Amino acid sequence: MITFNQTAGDDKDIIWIIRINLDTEYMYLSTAEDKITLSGTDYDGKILRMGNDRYPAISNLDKSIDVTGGGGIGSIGNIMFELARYTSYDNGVTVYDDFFNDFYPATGKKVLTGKEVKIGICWTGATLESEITYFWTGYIDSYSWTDTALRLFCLEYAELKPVQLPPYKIQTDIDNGISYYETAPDDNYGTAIPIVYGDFTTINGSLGLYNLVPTIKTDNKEFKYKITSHICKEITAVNALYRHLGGKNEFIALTGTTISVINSRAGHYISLSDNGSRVSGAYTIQPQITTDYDSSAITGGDAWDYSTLGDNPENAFDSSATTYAELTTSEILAFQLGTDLSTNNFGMMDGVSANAKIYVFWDAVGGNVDAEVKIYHPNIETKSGYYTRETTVSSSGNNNLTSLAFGDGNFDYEDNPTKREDSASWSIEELQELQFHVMNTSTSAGTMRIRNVYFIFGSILIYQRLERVFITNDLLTLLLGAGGARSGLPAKYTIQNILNSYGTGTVYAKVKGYMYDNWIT
Amino acid sequence: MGFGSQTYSVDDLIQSPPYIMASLLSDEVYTERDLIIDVVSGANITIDGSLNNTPLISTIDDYYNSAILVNVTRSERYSVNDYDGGLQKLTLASVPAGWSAGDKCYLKNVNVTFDTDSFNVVGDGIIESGTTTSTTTSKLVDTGQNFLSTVKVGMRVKNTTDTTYTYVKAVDSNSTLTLMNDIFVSGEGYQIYGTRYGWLFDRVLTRQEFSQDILNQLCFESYSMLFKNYEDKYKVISLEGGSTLDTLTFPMTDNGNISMFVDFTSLDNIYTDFTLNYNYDYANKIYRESHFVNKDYASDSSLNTYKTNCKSAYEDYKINKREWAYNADWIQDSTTAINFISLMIQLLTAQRMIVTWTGDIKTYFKYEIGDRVLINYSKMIPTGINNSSPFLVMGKNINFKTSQVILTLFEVVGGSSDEARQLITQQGDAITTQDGDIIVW
Repeated sequence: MITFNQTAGDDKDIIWIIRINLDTEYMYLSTAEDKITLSGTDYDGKILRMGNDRYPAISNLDKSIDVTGGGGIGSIGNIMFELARYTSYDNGVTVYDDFFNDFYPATGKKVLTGKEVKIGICWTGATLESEITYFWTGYIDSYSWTDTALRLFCLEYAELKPVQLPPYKIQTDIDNGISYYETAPDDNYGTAIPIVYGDFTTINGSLGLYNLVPTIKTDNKEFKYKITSHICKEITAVNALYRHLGGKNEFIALTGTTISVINSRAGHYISLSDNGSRVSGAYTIQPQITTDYDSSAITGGDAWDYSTLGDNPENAFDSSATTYAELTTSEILAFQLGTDLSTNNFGMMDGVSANAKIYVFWDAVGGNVDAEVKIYHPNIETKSGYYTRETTVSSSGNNNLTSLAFGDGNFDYEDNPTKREDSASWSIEELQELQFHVMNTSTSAGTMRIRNVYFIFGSILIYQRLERVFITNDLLTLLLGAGGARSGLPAKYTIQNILNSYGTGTVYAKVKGYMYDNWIT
Repeated sequence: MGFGSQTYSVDDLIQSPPYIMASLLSDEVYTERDLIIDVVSGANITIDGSLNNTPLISTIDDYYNSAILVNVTRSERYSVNDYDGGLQKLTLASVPAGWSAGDKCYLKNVNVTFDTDSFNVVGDGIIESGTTTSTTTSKLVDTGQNFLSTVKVGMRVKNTTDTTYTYVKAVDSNSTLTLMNDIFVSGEGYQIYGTRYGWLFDRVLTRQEFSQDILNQLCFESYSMLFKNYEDKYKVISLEGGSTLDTLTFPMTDNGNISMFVDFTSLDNIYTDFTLNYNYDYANKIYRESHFVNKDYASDSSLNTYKTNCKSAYEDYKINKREWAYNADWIQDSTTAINFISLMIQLLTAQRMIVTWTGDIKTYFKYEIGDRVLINYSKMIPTGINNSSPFLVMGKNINFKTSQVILTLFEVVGGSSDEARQLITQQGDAITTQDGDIIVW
């Protein structure tokens, strides 16, 4: 509600005040009969054009917001008023003298367009400028004239309209300390740098939900990503970046041997690499598919019988730890990784045993349970079902977590199916063909309840850039003088970038965005 | 904090909708970017383009007063106390250490002002809680409190003993508040908070849009209104319920005819089925969760009560089925989604009154957009709404020639009429009531 700076009183008339800011001076206008003097300033009442019945020639002032369909922002108000083109006097002194020639397009005169207009109200009897209650501020949008009047059409300020957000894009035109990057990938020039409000640090593994923010790569060699153009609430150095693998919620958590995080008023970015350092990833996933493959026709070796599957196998692969698959004696849970990833978007495993593991989370019910976890070679049909790795466990309690590492368990299976290659690493394509089973091997009545099964793959090579300076005659000459050259060496020295890079998915980041500031009012 | 919030401090994470609006305006819209400092002399920073060709745009004295100068090179910020337009020299609130010519910087919070009380009425968290110490009709009394320095008119009040709600109508004293409704007796617990307390907004702006469109969407999803008041300050209000300033009783007459007109919102604004998609996944580019309500089903038990509204829309307006579906970009959590869809269901399942009220300029000029009033004129406003349901001023037309003000008044969601609609039933339907429910025959 408007609080008036002056009490109206029943017997007082309204006086409308218009003040135009001409930068170096003001034009003071009113609807007073002659003028009204407020704090020594005369508000001329003779040129604010009067109608035949002495009412001011001011259009209606209309302002509204349509809330019938929900919330929104206010509309822009507008008003038109006229100034009479005649000479006004005050005690014989000319105040306004048909100021038609005082403004553009008169040669060398000020432009009226764009000048601020304030409209206010006071009541007869006011003597101070502080008694004016201004209620509308706008600017002169356009003006026209006749031989008797100057008509000014005014709008409220619409500063919001032409401003586009986010304001910064990756560019090389202006070094403003925020968006200027000379070596960004070509495709990223012109990409807007995000503005973030709120909390995007949720990694709700049990629901498989990642709430992350897209980033922009700012260096075409190094693993550097810009997250925001502003300072953020929270910096996270470890496990801050994730590569999206596609699919609903498949992300690889990235880390590096050289991590730098900058969260400043130039924005927030993370770099995970430097010359020689690795960027690697960690990936947690549950099996995507069960299998009911019946290998009873296979003879020899450790062929496994799929005909005795346990109950509710899908419960072991959901996001809940309260539902379970149930295996009685000799029943199995059989499954595969089931994704469609490739080395190109996943990366390279490193052949370390512990960097590929399967985990089984289970309870023993109704007695002791003996169980085995086995991994079967993909080429079962020709190689009679050799398994690559197994583990056996025994428990009568709950909350058992059994794991089996198989990161080094690849086979030279084309030539010699019994030979396990030293430090042979799996590719993701090969991992996806492996078949796994968990079997209740108890001879007693114990039942195995499997609540969750999942894989963790670690130290997946995503990116590595190495700079190598090769010894050449140019370099030897530089170091040892003219006699330093050696026969057989190339002439020029070179710096070679050896680039290992896997994966083309967009990188996302954990971040908490904008903070409250001391906004001055 | 400059806004006087009682629950948030500088450097807290912003998730409350009105403070996001304030940040967008202050930190992003009202800015002057890509500046380079030319001269540093104590607290005086000159950016006249003499060295680096990035002069400040304005040469008007004091133009940048109260702005914030952000030094990007050194990641520091200082308030501007004074601006000499002729020299294009900013005087900071204190002397920065180590700044030098060539530092890259920008200005924010340039020439923008806010009605800060309005932002706190909407956005603040719990600012008071306790137990009432006596019983007075339509009052909350708690001796030993300091309401005068903490509570603002329009804040939400919850009776935590019986889970009823109202709004602060007036702050009478340190120990007494006048409320819109009579919901307290002595010995009952209470909380006082902003009207959007508990609403959490999260969003990443990744592609360029006009700030007007961003703010418009932010207001829509928070069911609130952002506008400039008569003092040219940004003001925000939430659109439901609220406290009223006055009661309108006597419209003008014109040749003996009442200058008052009552209409309804359009039938095109009535829907029967509501779907809200939220929790946007920027990687997979999908909205991961949704809430749904129609006359037969609600996706959450807290939305069951609104099946009645949807049923009424079917039966009262003879609409077969009309779906309202919306993708919320600012809403990531279920609680906020439920809050929003609840308000939209109340708004869009019944026609709402629009009153055009003409009054003399002296009496009615003082009302502005966003003000709430009651209308006590039983010849034109039906029982149950007359003198009880708040109306929001959504339009104001000043006719200088006739010295009249024409107000367009909108019947807000969450008034007494909405409480009554919750319990309107068909013959034979069973209803469940609680103590204090209003039943209308």
